[in-house]
Amino acid sequence: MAAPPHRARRTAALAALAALILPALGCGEKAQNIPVVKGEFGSRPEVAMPTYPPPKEARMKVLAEGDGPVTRKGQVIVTDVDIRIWESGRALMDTYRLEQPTTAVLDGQHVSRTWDQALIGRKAGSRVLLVSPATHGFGPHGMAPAQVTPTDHMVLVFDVIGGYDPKAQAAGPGKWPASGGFPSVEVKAPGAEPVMGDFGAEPRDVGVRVLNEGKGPVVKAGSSVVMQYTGVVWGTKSPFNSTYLRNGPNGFVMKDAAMLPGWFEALEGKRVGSRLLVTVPGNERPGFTHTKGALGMPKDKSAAYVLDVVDTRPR
Amino acid sequence: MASWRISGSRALLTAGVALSAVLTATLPAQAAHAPGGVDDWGTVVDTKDCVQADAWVVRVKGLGKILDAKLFQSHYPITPQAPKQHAGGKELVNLSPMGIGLGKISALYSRAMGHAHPASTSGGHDIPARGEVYADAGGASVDIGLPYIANPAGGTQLSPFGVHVEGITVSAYSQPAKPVAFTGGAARGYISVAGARIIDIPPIWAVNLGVRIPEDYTQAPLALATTNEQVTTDIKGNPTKGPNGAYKYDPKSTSGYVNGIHASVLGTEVADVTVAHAAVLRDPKVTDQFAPKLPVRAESRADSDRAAAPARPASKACAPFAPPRAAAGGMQDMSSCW
Repeated sequence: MAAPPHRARRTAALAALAALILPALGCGEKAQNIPVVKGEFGSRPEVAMPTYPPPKEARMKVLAEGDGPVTRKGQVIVTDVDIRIWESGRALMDTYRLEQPTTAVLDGQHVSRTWDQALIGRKAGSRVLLVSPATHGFGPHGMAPAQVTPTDHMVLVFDVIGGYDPKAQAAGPGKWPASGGFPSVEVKAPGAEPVMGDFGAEPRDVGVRVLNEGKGPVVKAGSSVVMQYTGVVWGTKSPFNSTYLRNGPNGFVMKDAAMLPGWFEALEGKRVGSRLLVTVPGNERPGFTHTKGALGMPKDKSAAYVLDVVDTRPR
Repeated sequence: MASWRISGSRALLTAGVALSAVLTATLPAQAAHAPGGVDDWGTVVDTKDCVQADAWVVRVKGLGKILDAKLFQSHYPITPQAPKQHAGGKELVNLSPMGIGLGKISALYSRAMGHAHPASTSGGHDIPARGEVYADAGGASVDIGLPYIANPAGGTQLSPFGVHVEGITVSAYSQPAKPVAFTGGAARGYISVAGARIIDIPPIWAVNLGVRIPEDYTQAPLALATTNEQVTTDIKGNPTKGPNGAYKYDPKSTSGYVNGIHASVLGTEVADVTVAHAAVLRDPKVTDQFAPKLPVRAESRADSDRAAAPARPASKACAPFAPPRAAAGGMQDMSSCW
């Protein structure tokens, strides 16, 4: 007996759907074993490599979904990442031990396009696994990373801290005159880099002036904090480092040793949305040049910073 | 937790209802580029010609969004992205107009030529040579940072990761009936982290010398670098493989590429950079017929590390030879190897 027309249509629709979806999900292939990843968001993952050969094409999987805003195209993504080689199990690089999250610019030139698919459309706080041929796992246009053979496969675990507009700031334009030993600050337009001037005598202690009081979550020790910042050697105009002149906000770990001198005490307890003017004497951390994550400043120089606290996330 | 693989009619129905959610949660990430290592080699164009060459001086997107991905790129045959076979300039180019960007480079050059070889490493005319392909790149001074942060007090750049090299030069050269030969080296150089010089690069560069930054294995690596990175490929730019399917240097290969410095960096910004790249492709089935007929001195592997200009063919069977229009006039030749 022939099936009722509506059932036949339903079967046909299912078959069509299967034809559409199954190849996309790799269901037509033999089941792939995948690396076993353990650990909590924000901690260096433990990765156990499978005995199976790696997939021929790049694959990704959301291991744990976060609860933050969804990352969007056009944003820069601040993330922690752990990178290993499938074939050897060798750990290549990671941001956890560096205590320095990295900012990924998804233009296909800084990192591979496979990162786009791993990092865009994710909720902040998500842990994502990416397995990829080495030629599509790190560098631009399929460039295998240094010291990785082109036929290797890479295993990357991302902890997505968040996606941010390259011009994200904690506050809008404004002028803050010099006072109390602090230089003046001017932000001429939305997203513009703060300009400091009218420097007085060099500071003797770390000083913090709140230019804008934030109303967001409190920044706590040990958490991740995302900032837009600019810094100058005391009395000069040209910044020695500035996220505004690069690609947008950077992420940091709220530990004294993982930040430039003066930052930790300036930031602890402040809220997201705060704009801080921080002055730091040259002898605050004698001999300091850079952190493990290569965040640096001129040695033993007094400096001033404008820190815009854009976001924070527990780790 | 989403599964790596979904199967079964129930899963199918679920997928049909929540297709977009599933696709974003679990899917093969589609590579946006050709499989294999073609992009490592460079830009492989669709041509019937039997040789191709590609060269550039620096490959990384400007961190201040002011630059193209590849600086001073040359290609044979020419392409819309690389409309020159010879590129470069003697002047100092400041890639960091605000003090932060990519760096400073001077006296740079790149050359890519097919059915020809250069008269010398210092310039001059291309000498027609049937079936030969040659590429080189280099510069007098390269100071690149990721991102580049000038030191207001002068001296070593403050970049989280910096590369400084002087007199860098790389070349790739493939002649009929011979394997591809590479050169790579620099007069001097160093790698720096936030103003501190971490590693001095020796004048003589061992092939595929791996550098870990920092060198101290008790510390996490901030960057991995390879100097004089030499990779052999097939005639389509895919890395040569051994019996187990893994990359293996093929001393008989007629194609491949060399990077003077290749660095992969984490830190505040993730990036991958190559400084001085030369790549050639040559199809031996078509071009070996142009090999000199006279007996020639057998070349050893060590010849691939020569530092001098490439020798002219021992035989004149290929030259003098009227070069194709592409080589002579900078026009793209999409026809064939005659």
